[in-house]
Amino acid sequence: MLADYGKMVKKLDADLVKEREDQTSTLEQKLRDRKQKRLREIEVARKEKEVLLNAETVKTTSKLNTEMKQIESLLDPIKDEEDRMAMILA
Amino acid sequence: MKVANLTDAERDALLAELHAKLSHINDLAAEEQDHQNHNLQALLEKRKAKREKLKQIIDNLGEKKISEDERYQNKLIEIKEAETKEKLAVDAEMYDLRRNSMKEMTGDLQQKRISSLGPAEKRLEDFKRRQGKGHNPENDL
Repeated sequence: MLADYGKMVKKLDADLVKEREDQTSTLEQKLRDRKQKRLREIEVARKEKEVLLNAETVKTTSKLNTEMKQIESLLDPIKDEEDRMAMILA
Repeated sequence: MKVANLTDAERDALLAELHAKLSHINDLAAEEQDHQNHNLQALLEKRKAKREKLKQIIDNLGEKKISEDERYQNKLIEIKEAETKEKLAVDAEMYDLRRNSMKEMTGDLQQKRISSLGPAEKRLEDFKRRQGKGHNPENDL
């Protein structure tokens, strides 16, 4: 009786160890997949934010450059005017 | 013009008149010159003021551009930091999930062991009890 009980416990423990290994393996795979999915989502969100920021910055910089060029073109006719006047008068 | 027929007095009068007219013309020319110089000076001052104003606007635009570049760089850093933070949060989330799942799994397996061994343990206890009363339970098997 005792021997049978001992055998039964031994077999049950072995089965439980195996089951634990299987469940752990499944869990680890599930965790890996979930982590990869979350990391991909985070990277996609980061890239979207960067694209948006770049677009905004290009728009603002382009506006500033246009304004700068407009002002420079207004400044062109009177650029170095004093030197040019001095040359003409010399 | 018959210069030879003029008397000295007439010639002097004419010369005086000529000099007076020339002097007047010179005065007018000088006045005009002054006037033009004044206008030119005023125009130059006006243009100088305009140039200074435009330079100030360009300086302001340059500062805006620098500030925009800084804002862009800071925002980039902010985005990257937020990403790092979120990734760390994922690690923490996975850690908690693993710990809770393992705890649950261990509990389930322990419960399974108890319920699987329950009937056999009961039979073993009965066996021991009967053995203790002088009865040889091996004969019942």
